[in-house]
Amino acid sequence: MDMIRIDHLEKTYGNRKAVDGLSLSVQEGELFALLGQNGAGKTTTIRMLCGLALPTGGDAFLAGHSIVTEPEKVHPIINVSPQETAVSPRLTVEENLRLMAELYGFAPKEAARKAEEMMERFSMTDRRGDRARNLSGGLMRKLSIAMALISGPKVLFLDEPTLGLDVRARRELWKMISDLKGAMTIVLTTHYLEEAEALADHIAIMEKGRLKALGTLEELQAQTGIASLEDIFLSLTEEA
Amino acid sequence: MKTIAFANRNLKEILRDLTALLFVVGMPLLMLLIWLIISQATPGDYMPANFQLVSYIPGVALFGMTFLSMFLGIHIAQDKSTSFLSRLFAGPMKTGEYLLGYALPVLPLCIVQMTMVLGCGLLLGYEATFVQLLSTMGCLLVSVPAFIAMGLFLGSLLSEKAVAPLSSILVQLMALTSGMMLDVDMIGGVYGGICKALPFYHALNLAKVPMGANAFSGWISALVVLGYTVALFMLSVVVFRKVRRK
Repeated sequence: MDMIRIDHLEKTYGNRKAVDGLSLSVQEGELFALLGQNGAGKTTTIRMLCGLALPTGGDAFLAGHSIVTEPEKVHPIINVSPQETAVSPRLTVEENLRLMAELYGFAPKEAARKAEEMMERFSMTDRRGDRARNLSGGLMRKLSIAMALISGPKVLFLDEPTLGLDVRARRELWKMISDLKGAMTIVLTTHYLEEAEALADHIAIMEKGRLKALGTLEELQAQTGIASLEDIFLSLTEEA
Repeated sequence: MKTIAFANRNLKEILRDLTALLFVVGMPLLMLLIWLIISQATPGDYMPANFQLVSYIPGVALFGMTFLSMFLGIHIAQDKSTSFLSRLFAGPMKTGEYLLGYALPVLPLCIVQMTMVLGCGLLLGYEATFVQLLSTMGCLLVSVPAFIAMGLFLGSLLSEKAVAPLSSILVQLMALTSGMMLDVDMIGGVYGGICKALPFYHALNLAKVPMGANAFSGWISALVVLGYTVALFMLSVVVFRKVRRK
């Protein structure tokens, strides 16, 4: 079943088309990687799917609900871990998690229980009382992802989840993200092609707002006759 | 429930910002200290009417509210500048719930601040009965939503870099147009007209009613303040909706 169906989605800023007639679908439970150079339209696409930007053309449907006409039905079933720091800095780890749970409608007791569950899952129980702004980059990123998961979303958007992390922290996060596959639909944007190779069921490559390629890694290799995803990416996105 | 959770978060963020607390508590106390120094150096007969305690104390309480208004605006603008608000915008809260969540924490802070100012005023010689004190607080409370709405509007409209300098204009307007520093009624003319078109003069005028100011003019002032409150809240909703979904 299509959890996400994007139908000729467009976003124009002045004379510039940031997203130009994008159409694709994402199956329920899969991890979908959206790749592209800076300015390709990845983040604009995610922003539209999350209801943070209004499309100027086309539509997209999450669990059958339109982002244009039914955003109020889309918001409760999604969550997002943005690229930049997205935590409440003076709140503690536990307070941040409880806040997100309560904002998604969980009663305070249930929110506390879910926060406990997330802290255990992400090995942050011993840091529960630490203010978010005092956490290291890796821990802050873990907290951000935990805050995105705590609402039990049907669709999770991860925007560059391992950007700036050291290799060990990145591998730990890969394992956590990989464990989520099947339980929810995940859309991941990343500049790390090995991350897409390691995690994604399907890969889409965007350039200048348009879809250049879509498929599994094996399908892309067969389409292009190139073995390495990095080379596939470079060949599809190089200047004409 | 969502609004309360968000309001709790905002209250914690404000209370855990020592700089903000210092200004919110410290500035009104500084104003009172300045008054004490001036009053001790000035013979009683020469003390201008607007510097008499009966006018000055409610003026300081309102002055303190402008700082709370400014910090509310800064807090909202800071949230906008980070991805934290974007992550919340992807969630199920409505625009009104956000704005209420930002506004609610400021109310108890205003009450604490005005209680502190009135209490210190009593120590300085502010002669008011218990009923007059409660009535003064009630009149000040009428103006609280207006100052909250100013903070909501400025924070929704302005960037993090712009909100602090432009909010400080709010503080200047309060000082110069409310009648706190300058006797507006005595100056009159175009200046008086501008002051009476703004809400600060009316907020102070209303707050002086329990201590003997004209009650009818107090009602007019209450209507002006409430009008500004409604207009600024509506503008905040419009601007916040645009920020939420570009």
